[in-house]
Amino acid sequence: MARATPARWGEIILLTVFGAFIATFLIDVRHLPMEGKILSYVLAPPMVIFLLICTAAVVLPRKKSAENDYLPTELGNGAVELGETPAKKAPAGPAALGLGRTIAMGFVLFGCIYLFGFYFGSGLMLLAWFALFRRFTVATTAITVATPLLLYVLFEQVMPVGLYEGYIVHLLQR
Amino acid sequence: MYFLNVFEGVIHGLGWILGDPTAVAVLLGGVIVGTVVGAIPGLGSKIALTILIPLTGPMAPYLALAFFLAISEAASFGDTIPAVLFRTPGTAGSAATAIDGYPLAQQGKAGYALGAGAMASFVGGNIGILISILFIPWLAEYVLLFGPPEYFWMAIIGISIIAVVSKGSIAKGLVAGLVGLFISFIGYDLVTGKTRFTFGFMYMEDGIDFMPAMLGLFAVSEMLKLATRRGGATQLENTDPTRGVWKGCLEVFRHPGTTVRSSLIGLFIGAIPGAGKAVASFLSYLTAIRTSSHPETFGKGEVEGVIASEAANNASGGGGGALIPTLTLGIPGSSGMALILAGMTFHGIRSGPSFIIFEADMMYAMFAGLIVAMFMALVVNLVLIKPVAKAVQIPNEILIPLILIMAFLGAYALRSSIFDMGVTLVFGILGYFMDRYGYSTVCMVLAMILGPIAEESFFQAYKIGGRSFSIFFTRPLSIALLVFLVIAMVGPSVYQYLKQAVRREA
Repeated sequence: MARATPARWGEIILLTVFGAFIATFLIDVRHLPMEGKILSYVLAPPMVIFLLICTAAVVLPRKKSAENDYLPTELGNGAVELGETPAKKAPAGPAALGLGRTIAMGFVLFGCIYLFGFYFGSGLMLLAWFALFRRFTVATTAITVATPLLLYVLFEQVMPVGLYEGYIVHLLQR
Repeated sequence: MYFLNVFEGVIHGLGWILGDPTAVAVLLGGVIVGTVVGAIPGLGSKIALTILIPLTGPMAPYLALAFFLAISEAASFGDTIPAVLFRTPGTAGSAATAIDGYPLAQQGKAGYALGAGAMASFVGGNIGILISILFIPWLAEYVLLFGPPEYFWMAIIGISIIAVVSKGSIAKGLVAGLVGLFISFIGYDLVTGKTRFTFGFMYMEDGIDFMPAMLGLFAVSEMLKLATRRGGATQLENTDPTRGVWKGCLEVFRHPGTTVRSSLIGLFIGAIPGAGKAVASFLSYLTAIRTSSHPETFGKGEVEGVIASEAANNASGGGGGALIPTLTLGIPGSSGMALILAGMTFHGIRSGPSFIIFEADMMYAMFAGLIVAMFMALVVNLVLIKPVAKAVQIPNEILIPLILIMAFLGAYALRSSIFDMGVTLVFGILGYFMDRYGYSTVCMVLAMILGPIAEESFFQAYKIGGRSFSIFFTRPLSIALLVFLVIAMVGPSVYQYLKQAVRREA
């Protein structure tokens, strides 16, 4: 197996996720009634073949060069180059930290909204976000206060549809 | 007679739009939103559409469609601003604009370049709309010959072609497409009503809705990409970006050949599923160099380069080329069109010849709204250059949490489901890594949209054919589509092999 450098771990994880999708598909499809199975069976072989092709690309040794480490998709400024694009390095240092923090804050946002509802939850998340980045200025404080207020006014007064109130509110209402 | 009917339809549609102040206000809002999101690098119309589509429920369908297209087209106007001022394209379609736009800005002619870009976008976009309005109803008459077997093959072709032309390897594109198909199968089976791949979770019984998935794959993953790079710190140099704007606008009419040719290139490329605005604008730019009497001036501040790029950018987009396969066949011409298609589905409209023929009034009203939006976009872009240029400088640390909140809001608004918010988050992370390692997220999204169409058509054809598969291989149109599919899949590899063989012999 080719050396699983940190640069390729992400690719391996992604292939594992896709492989899990397809394995689930192949296992579950057997329990379907015949009528529902036909298209599933037609599609199953190509799915397996293509997954094997991509797995081979990861597993088999290949020439070590800068171009092979990542398949770039676009340049940093959003531009797209036609034809071959140059390789770019794995996110490391500040870039990887930025990615990790943003993913973590995504979960924090989900948790805050689930527990406290949209209004309070979004405000809490913004507070946590600017605290994490140590970026408390007049503008960011105003955004932290204004965003929940704006959501409340928009969804409770202007368009009275209401948003999720939060699990804790439901508990308190019982 | 045909042209008269089309003209009458458009006039009738203009009456609907202009006679309703709410419609005008909605279109103006869409244009402003589109201009701003197009101008901020890393955002783009896709994020605005994914967030706003779920919130357009109360709108009339024709107005909602015009609103979506207005956002899409206005983004192609707005992306010129950062390309010229900061050499940072707002979207991929304006990458070629920066090549000559930025040098013009450095020479103190930023307003001149922005005026030329805005007017070129306006003219190119209108040429695209005009030809689409004339071409789409005519094409729809032929698409009526399509039956369920043909729709099945068209859905498979749609997914496969995107895999072939998208970035990264074809195999990975097809894996992404097949996984998207699998995701579209989750939930109740169309034929038997039994649940599939739900693992007993009640939330999964309605399936994975493609809107939260798209919010994740486009909006959230884009924010994750922004988080890995510094941005928003560009400073507007000491230059007035409004000086010379009108002179720039007039420049477009001094190069009519370039403008019309670039618009037609954009229209043609935009109609090819998966080709995209970037291909259209670069091809048009390169053609302008080749046909110019002074090619050495390109890259140093030649306004014709800006005109060529922007005219193609707009002609290929939401109102032009990309709309042709989307409306006639229900196959999105680009990832932006995939979102427009999702918006149509959200409002209960099935794209295809039935929409064009039986909902012609709605279609013409949509085009009328788009024409009105183009005029609005031109004015907004010329008048709001300075405020939009300031918006480009919003730091990423402020932009990212706000977009995340909007994305979660959009996901929740669809079905009032916390589960959909979780789907958005998971697909956002998945989308980031897919894009990073060369798996096309556009393929996955298209497959999620086309999957139910493919399955429904498959079973309809299977039953019509007396429970035999031969119906897929015996109808002339089906055979033609199958041959096209094989050529599209195998053609690029064969071409590369032959090219290398010829090179080796030489």
